[in-house]
Amino acid sequence: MEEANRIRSKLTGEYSVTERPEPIAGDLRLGWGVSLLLLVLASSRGQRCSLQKIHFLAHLSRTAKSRQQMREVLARSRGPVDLSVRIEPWVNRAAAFAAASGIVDFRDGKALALSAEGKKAVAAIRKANLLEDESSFLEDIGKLTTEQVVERIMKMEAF
Amino acid sequence: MLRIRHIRLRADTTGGLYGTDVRLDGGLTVLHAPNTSGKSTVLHALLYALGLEQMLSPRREIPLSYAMREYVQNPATGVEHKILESYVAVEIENASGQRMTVRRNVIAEGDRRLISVVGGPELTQGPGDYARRDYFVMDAGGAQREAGFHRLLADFMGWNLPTVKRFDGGDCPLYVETLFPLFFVEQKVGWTAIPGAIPTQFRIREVHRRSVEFLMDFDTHEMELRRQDLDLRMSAARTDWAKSVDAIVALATASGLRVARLPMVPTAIGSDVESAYLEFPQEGKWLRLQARIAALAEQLETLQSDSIPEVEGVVVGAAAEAEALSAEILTLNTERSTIFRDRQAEIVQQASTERRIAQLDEDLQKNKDALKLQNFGSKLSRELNPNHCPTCEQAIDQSLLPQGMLETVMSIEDNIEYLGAQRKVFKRLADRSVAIIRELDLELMSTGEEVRSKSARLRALKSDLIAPSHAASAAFIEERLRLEQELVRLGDTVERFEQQLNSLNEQARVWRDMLAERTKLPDARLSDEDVAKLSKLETSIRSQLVRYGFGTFPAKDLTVSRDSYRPEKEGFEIGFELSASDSVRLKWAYQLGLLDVSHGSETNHPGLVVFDEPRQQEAAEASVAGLLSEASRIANGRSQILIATSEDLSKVKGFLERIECQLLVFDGKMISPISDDADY
Repeated sequence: MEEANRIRSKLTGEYSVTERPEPIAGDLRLGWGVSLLLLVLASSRGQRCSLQKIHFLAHLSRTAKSRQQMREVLARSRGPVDLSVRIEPWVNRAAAFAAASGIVDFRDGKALALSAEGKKAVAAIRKANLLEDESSFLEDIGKLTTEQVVERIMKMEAF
Repeated sequence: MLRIRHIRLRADTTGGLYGTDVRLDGGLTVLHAPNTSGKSTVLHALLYALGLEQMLSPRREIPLSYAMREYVQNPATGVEHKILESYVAVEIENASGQRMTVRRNVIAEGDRRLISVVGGPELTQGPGDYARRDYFVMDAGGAQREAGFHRLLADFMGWNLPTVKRFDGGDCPLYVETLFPLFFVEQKVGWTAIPGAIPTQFRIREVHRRSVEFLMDFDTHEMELRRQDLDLRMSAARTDWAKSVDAIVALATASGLRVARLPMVPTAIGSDVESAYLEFPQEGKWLRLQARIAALAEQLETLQSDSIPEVEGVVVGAAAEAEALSAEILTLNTERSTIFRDRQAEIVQQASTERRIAQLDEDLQKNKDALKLQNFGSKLSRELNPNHCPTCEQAIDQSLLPQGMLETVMSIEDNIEYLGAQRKVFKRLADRSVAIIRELDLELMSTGEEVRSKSARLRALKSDLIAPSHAASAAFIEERLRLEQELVRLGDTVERFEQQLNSLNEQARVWRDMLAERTKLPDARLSDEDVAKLSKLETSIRSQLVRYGFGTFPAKDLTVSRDSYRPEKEGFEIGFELSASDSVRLKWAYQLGLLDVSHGSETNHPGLVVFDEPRQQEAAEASVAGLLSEASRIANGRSQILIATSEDLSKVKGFLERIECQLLVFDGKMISPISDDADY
């Protein structure tokens, strides 16, 4: 305390503190998250899917390891127990922004679908080879992962 | 060489045939016509006929005015007539006097990419029995394939187009479109740049330098190729060296030894290679292997000279030695288990570092994607990456964390830098781990060897202790055998080590040769002859500038860069400090200078310069008079110079009074009705 007071007595001049920008993970970038959401929707039947499936796929397509695990589960070489299933809050935020920008539409409050603008955006993302790994993963497994499969994996049942 | 003999434009309209003919006598020609009369159309028609429109813009459109594409106006009545069909044709001549007529349709049924070539002077001497063939332009291969017109044109002009590097790493010929701007100064874009408005859409590396080098036929191009080749061979030699070094290190490690003073990067000095030697570990220190071999040999010799003792005589010493050995082996094993633990810890550390690097790589990729998404295109990037809330228009953080959680989010560019820096640190850690593990492995190996030999000795001693008293001492025999084996093993390793050093020495010799080759390449990029050409260009530009009344600085201060071939003053490129009129004067001087150099020196200049409307309004009258007289001096029957101008006719006539030249005067529109046409 004594030392603190001594230091304080030295700090008589004016001083200012500069705000340092903080780094964040790439998948928390707005554009990245929204793009992944669009790719998830684009990979599903009818370009729409339930919020549950969106969360499920968005989380699993994020890292190379989880992508590999999901592939193995679908190939039946691994059980659903090994998959980490998460509800990611950023997915909801991405969905909110995307809906407000008019690239996705909410259906009955429980599903999302790509709008015409969204389809154009997906085409542009694919053409530019962005999110390449995520995109090819979703293209491979999107059609196989039906709502029913997601439901069963969530309940840890064999499918 | 290239001479333009005749330019013909024809348009068939609803009001009859329109067109114009410009016949050039091959020296200095001044083409005079009022503004908006179609001078530029005629000169553009020349470029179009030669398939050079990409020199003007990367868009593949016809560079001709409406008068060749849509309608013409009758000069007498003012009535507009729609164009039904139109074409342009040019007759050109080369150094050997060969003439060729090329014709290209503007408005017509057929494909505009086709150019019809007639092998004779059809425009000046009328139709004849000449070979005809169609060539194509604008398509891939137009400069290389046999049916490509630009290949024909280059052959006709005696140009052997060099192969140059593109930005994407591939090769392509130096296209003719990149060379014409050096002597054909077009009105709209041509006057803006020195050496010229050279198109960049072909993505050729350093295209400005390459084109000047070709036009001036510099030796440097050849030199650059040799330099590139040598660089490639040297980098291959570096890789070979690294491989050999790895093999030597692996050999040493496998025998529990290490290499000292081995040059890790290529060296030309053979003795540096020969001074490398092997070391072995003894009680925590590394000593020369040769010393050990000598010591072992001496020991062996003593043992061999002694006769084999009986157990009875050695048993007392054996008991004490066995005890001491057991203790030593115990200590060694403890040491080994510590090393082993360290090694395991380092492996765990290494794995976690690798994992972190993989995560960073993944995150880096995501950030790079995010950056591209951010720079996507206006509308899409707003949708994917809004700066403002799409609903309430408040500013938002560029993150998917709850808004307001972070004070400020780092920009993606900074974030990428930040991750890159982290990755570098972790990579260094990973490299360190690899080195540490290698070092620990070596220690394990050498202490293991020690434990094994000590255990063998202990076994022999123990067998002596329980053997009958008159038996031969097993410990003595064991030691002798062990020494023999050890010497053989080490000798073998040394032999192989020396073989590898020999081959490394061979590589050092090759390396020395390559270094010698590199020193033989001239330090300067340019050969003496190239420099002579450049100083000739300098002299020509300076003397012309004096004639043109150049005033920004004394003309003698001007030099031409040995590097970019652009004009410089005191080593600095000349830019905005020039007045508008002086920059026009400099452009005249530079372009005519290139032609001037070609007289008396070997160059690829076609001996042709075309100035379309040389911006006389920006220079003073005296300068224009200077330009015309300099042009006449430089052309002087050896070259063709074509200057199109709309300067006041009486003045032009005044300037040309004592100058030998062809003056073509058009009063009104150049494209006008034609009553009688010898069309072909």
